[in-house]
Amino acid sequence: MKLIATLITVAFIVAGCATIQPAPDAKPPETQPIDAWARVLERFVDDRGYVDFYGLQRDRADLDRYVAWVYDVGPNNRPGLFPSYDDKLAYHINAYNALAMWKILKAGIPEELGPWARFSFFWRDRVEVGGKRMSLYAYENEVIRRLNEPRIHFGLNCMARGCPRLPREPFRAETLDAQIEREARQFFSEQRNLRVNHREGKTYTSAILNWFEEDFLAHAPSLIAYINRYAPQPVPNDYPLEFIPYDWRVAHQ
Amino acid sequence: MDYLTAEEVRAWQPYPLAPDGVTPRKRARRRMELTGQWAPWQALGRRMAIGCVALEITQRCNLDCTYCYLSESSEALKDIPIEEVFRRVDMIFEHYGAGTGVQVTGGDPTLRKRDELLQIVRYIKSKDMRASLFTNGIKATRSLLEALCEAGLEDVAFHVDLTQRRKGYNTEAELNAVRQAYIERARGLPLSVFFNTTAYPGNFHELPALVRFFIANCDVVRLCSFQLGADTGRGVQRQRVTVSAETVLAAIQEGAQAKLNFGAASAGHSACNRYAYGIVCNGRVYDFYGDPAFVHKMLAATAHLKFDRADKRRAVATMIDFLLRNPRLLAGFASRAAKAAWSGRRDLLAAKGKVGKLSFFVHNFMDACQLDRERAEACSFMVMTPQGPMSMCVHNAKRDDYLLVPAMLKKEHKVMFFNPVTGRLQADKPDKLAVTVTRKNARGRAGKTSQTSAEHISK
Repeated sequence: MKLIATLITVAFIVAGCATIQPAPDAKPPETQPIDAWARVLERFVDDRGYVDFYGLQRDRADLDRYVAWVYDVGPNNRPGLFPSYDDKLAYHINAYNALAMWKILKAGIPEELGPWARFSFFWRDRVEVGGKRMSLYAYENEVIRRLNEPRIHFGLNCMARGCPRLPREPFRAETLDAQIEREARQFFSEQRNLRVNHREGKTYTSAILNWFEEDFLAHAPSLIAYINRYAPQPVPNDYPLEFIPYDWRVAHQ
Repeated sequence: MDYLTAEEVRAWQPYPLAPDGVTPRKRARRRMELTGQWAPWQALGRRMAIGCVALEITQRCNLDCTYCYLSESSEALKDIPIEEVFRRVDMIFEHYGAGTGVQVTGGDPTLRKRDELLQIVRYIKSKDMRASLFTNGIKATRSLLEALCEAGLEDVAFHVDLTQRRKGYNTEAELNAVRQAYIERARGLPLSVFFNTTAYPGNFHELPALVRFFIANCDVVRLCSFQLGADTGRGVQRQRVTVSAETVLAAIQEGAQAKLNFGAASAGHSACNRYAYGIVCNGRVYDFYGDPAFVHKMLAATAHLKFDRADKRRAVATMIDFLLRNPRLLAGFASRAAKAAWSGRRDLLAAKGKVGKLSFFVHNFMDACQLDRERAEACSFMVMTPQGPMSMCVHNAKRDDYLLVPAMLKKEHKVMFFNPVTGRLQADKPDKLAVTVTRKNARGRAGKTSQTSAEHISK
């Protein structure tokens, strides 16, 4: 009983700590500033998906502009701007990635997202998406995952090294399917995300497959079957899966 | 000798930014001309805008050296906020531009939070400047060095000597075990490894043997620097020692068993810095600067080149590329190289053609109470204070003027002040800061007397 009371107290204290991160100073533009986001990705992201955060900090107007727009406009409050499923999905992937990038700047460009930093980053410090206040955790789990597209996990990027590669171009509704298909193949082509050890008789894969297992299993009979849709070489069906510890170092160039 | 008076030391100010149109290198050249130091051997103003700039990211240290230059307040002060460190890095860039060597130092910089240390190194790298870690090595683990390399660190300088009073080590020869352990930690990493040694009467007789140790490890060690013990402030050694630049140069040459030319190339004032470049083959040292006239010609012609100190092959490739484009210099270089190879043919054969390099540096810091005006004005080694760069030796004489001041920070669109004594941010600027030296935080001389550096100068 004492333990429950303590846990409830701690939960209240922690909940009381949740803070809202104010929108960037930039005035939100009227139309989607996708070109500004495209410039950020083109200028500050390299081919590995790593980010020049200090360069970005020195010249952050484009990112601030895009994030200010995300704060102001989203499918929930301006549905007319996002008529199709792909419009919504592309918006959410771009918005999530831009907010994560912006939060890294807000957090003082840390070297690593340690346990406390993760708590602040994903849960405590809230942002707004189309005027709706939420944590990055809630955004991913309660908004984006509900769109029922498992391949989004190869497009969403929280700026840690364990994340899928951040592409140097925005996701766009008109090419979205091809883009996330490409990112899924890219993801499983990288040794850090998928490798088979025949000596040990094991397959090692990213912890993302473990965390979001139910999303993948809603579209395939097993994780291995899902992986084999995209892996360059088929993974043996009889090898047990081991999950690679997530690399929480920030993806600095 | 024209020594600065106590009043002049107090009035000495950090350098402001150069006026528009005056490049950092041009400004350095002007300083060398005004102090009579502009000569063919001079690299400052020719190859570089400054020798290096010290960025003190903490005042705390886990050792208590007898020649320590830190303030008696140092242990009682909290680390300056990382935003202030970044601001100082920005100032270094504004003053001296890309390529500047930034010494990440302290105190011991490894006592700063690991994440912040990595951020600082990465930030320096993002400005296209050269980050060097100056540490006593105690907390510089292999894992930290690897992470720092990944963040962009290019040099690590380990300071190991008897003045540090490490427990269980009574001679420099015994301390070689510590040096060897540090060498192994850095082996294979893309770092230039330096060793700093304070030369003072207590270890002077061991310098030749120490030089031989560095020569034997020149596959990893790239530079050994000897700093003459000086009364810079807090240390317990109050008297200026009799060890001089000339006797240390002689001890180095005795250890190297070679005549080395310490006057062919250097940066800053000739009384402050002496530099020699040795080629090591089969354990024997050959003087690379044996022909000063040719060295001066090369120094002038290669002033624009950038050599990658962390990558020997790339540095050699840069030089070869340059020589191929300059046939006259190539001919001069080739004939001298052939001559040197012939004279060292036995060693070359024994070493199967394998050669290494080892630089020797002698730093002659000034006593806090005897600051030569000309040397201070020709200084190549700056410390970045909150207001701008200042000669290291002058800064040592008045450190508290820059430590016991609040740092102004912008937080969430508000101006706040960091109080280095309490470590807190506050809205109002604190009037006067002072620390209480207690038994817990007292180091060096402070344990014995309450005299401050400023009082010491005024004597």
